[in-house]
Amino acid sequence: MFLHNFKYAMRTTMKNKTTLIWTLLFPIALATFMYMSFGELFEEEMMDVIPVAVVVQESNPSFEEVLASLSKEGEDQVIDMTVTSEKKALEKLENEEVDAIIYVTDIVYLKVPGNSYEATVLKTIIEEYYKVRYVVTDIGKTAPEMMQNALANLRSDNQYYTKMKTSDGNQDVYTNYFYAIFAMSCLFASFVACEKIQKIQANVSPLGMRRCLSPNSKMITILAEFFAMLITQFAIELITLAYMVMLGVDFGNKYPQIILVLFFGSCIGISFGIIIGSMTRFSSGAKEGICTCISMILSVMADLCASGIKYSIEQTMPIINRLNPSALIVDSFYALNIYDTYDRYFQNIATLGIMSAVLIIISFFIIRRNKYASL
Amino acid sequence: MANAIEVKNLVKRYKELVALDHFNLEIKEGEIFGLLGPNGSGKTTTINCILSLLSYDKGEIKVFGREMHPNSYDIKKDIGVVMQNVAVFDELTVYDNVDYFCGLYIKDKAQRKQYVNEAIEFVGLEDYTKFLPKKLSGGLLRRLNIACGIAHKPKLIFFDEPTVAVDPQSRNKILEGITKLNEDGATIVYTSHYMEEVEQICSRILIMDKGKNVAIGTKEELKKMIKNTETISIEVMGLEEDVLKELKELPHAYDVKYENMTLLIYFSGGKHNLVRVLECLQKRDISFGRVYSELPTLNDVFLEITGKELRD
Repeated sequence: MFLHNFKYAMRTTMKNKTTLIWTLLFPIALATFMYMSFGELFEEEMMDVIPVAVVVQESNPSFEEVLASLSKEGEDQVIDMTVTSEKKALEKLENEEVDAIIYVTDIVYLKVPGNSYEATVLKTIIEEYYKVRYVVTDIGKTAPEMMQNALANLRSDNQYYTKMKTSDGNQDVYTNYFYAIFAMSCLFASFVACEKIQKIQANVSPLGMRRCLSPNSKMITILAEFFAMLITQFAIELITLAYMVMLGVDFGNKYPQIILVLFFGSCIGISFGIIIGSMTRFSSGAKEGICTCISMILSVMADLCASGIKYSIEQTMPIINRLNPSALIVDSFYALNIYDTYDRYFQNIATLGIMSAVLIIISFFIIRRNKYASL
Repeated sequence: MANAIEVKNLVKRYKELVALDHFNLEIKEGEIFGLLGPNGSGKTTTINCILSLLSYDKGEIKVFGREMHPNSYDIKKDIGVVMQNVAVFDELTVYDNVDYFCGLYIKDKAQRKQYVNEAIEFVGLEDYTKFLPKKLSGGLLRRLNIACGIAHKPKLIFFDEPTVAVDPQSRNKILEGITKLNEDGATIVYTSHYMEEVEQICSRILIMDKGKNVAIGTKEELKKMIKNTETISIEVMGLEEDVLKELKELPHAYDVKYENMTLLIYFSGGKHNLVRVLECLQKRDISFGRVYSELPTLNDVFLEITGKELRD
């Protein structure tokens, strides 16, 4: 009986073309718009080596040492410097052969053609140099015996500015938005689930009434519908993932783990729709409204619209992030890309799985209601 | 003949409203049983209680001699329901819809295929098997609704107002089909507020009003329950009071009404009532138009028992 129900659940899901197309188009369109907005930033995040001309007007050994260190070839190379005269430096800047001129005197200063990412990087380097120089000079004057500790601390501080790779995933902040698209897309599966579950309730639809009269357990019907929707939604998520990869969004190289998140994300989205659809007190329109509102709110809380909301919630009421399915999906990706271990990832996956199972069981107990007070 | 359905002392309340008031019912196997009553009389509520879809406050319901519960799958497998509202999947074709609902009852694939084809043939949808429901006319859609309800060859079939908003041709086809199903051995419970349909196909009829059993019997038995045996109506202009008095004094006449130029004379028994009425008018040289002699209908039965028309 399960197979019979499943076969027709698949067929009705696949033939509901309008819903199917919109469910697929929505994340793809959103990903396209996001990519169009962030595409340039992705490229800049690659942090190419910045070509600079250095004009030494007055000897400054400590800063020259810093420049030498930053221009050292290798993975950590930040600048590609050419020490030259001011005239030639200006020519190179005009011909766009270099992005900036660094004038080395006792007071180091920078000449750039305008505001740019490169200018910000170089400015930060100079500011950092002055900060360190000030601290060292000050300690040398006031407490020379503390110099060793101070230098150790400064070196330790510099760790913040060192590129660290703790995982094979992509730690790019903009990729978080694409994770949030997945989270939202998974939650949007709730619409279809909500609609379908109403078709097995006698007090909601004539179709539900007819199905209730058949000699079958409602659990079989619910599970058949659940798995049919899961397969469809999971396929939609995979297509979306493939599309994003094709666009050039870098998800790192942990695809099996990413796909597992999408699977459990689809599970929670559908279960979420099933529980809303099971609520007997609301009309069909109200249930769809609830699905939309909750999906949107939970996605916004998981940083879909602006970065930092999820972090703020984490600081004030972390339990919300532990229960928000959207945040759990996003956090699973985050954990995958940030941590070298899978503890947090599997914790999130397990939470999604358990929540999904609990929601389906609750729905069953609501829907299996023996008799209705009114129809 | 054993009882297919037994309902004893059934009470169903919707808050303050009493939908079924100590309602009793017995339907024998092999009957076409008609539940007749105006809208809101409790027909559909009765069916939903029997089917264990609705909870009820008091009473006992047995189907095929066994108490009916929501999980009485062994009873449910022998029941088919054709609801008032069309209940099919918009996404599935005619064939798939019938196959889906039949498959909820019949596990054997070969048998199911045979049943599905028979049901489609029975309702005359052979040419529409690949059509989606939205492509069907109202009448064809009703027929699909019937096919979905009867494909598994149930022993007991409920038809809840299956001909609402159906064209006369489809209506006749549906009524013929129901009779055929009964001839093939199914017990039929047919609800309607169309008395002509109930009179046409039902072997026994229960008239309901306000959740109560008003009268029960064959159509002949029901008509015998009332005083009226014949109503003569004549289109006539300008009748005087003394003519009406004379007509009322005719043998077996018990009431005379004259409204909107239509004379109505009610008889209880007697033969040649029409001849006597016409002789009376001719004697006074009164011209008249159309003349009708009508035997009592179920509406007259309902009218006489409840004091109101069957149709709203």
